[in-house]
Amino acid sequence: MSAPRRRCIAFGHRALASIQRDVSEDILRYLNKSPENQAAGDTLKTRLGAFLTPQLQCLLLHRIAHCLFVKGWTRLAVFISRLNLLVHKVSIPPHSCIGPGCLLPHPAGVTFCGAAGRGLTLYSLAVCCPLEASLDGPLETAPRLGDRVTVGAHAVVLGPITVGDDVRIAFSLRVDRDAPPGVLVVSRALRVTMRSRPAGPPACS
Amino acid sequence: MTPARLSWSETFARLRADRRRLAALLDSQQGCQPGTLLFHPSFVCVFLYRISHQFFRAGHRYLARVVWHLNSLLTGADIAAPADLGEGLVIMSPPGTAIMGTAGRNLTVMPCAGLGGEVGRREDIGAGPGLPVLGDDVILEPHCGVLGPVKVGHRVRVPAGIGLTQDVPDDMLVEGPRPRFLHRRDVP
Repeated sequence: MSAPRRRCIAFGHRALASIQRDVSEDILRYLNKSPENQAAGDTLKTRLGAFLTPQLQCLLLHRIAHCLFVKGWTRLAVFISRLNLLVHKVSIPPHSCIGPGCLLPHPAGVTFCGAAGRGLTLYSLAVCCPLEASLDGPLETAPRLGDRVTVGAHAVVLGPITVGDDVRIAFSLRVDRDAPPGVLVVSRALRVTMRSRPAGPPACS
Repeated sequence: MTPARLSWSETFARLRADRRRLAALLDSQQGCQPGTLLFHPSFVCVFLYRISHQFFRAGHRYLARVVWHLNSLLTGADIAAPADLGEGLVIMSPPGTAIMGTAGRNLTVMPCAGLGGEVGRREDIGAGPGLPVLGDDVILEPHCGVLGPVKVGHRVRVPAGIGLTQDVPDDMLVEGPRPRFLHRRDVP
């Protein structure tokens, strides 16, 4: 609670209108994410349907909390952020700044503490946080992501690092150093060997 | 393409098999009371998924989504309604589990395991081509993922912490990168 007030100048998050703008860009991102969603078209009905998904609801709650935090209503912001954690199981502290057009396909278990540009994608159980155990520290110790960054499922971005634009981080990875723009970070977890099982009962529970 | 309809009796038969398997599993570990089993989070999330899948197969897509949303809010498990999972499904700890795809009988999902579209090639995790198909008696260990259009055979155990992006035949042993053990000099 003693965290100092910080100004969020990147996307004008001090204005209440930024919530509406960001969430509408999130909805557009959701409607364009796959051919099936694109085939459904961009009508009022599909927009409302997208808005009522947990993906968009948790982003809406975070955007409200962030706007209140930047305005100085810290306690209310923390309360809404806790509500978000309770309802959607997504842990985004109110001071973390996310640009418009964010996509969280599976919100449960996602942790995000840091700053991100436009078009962020966090797959299931992606974690971006500072090296400290607490998520309430200053934003300078947390990762700073550029525009259109994709963080894969189970990947972890850790510490005061800068990740450039258009970086894609693959499945199950720990990134703790700066990533230049446009790279694809791959993990050894995708390198799998196979051999036939020795005779005996199958390893099933 | 509309999927084939699924009868309620088939859904309840699958649910009975799920309950039996979960009861056997809990019985072998800690013992379980039959009354409390129905409120076990593992069973609740499987129950809600079965109901939403039943609605989806019957063409009630909005009802399916409402139940899926309820499942996502109550238990934290994100099991998509179009996912076709056979009977005997056990999900050890629902929060953070994201499942989309097709699986045979007796699928075991351990904490935080995932099943779904691949990261990188396409952004789509919707229904259609690009989703995994699993055989019978597959075990997904904690924090593993089966990603993208792959086919996994029967009786395969996917080890913890790996992402499987290639086909696996029946009865194969899958191995990921091994941990390295370094001897520390500062500890006598």
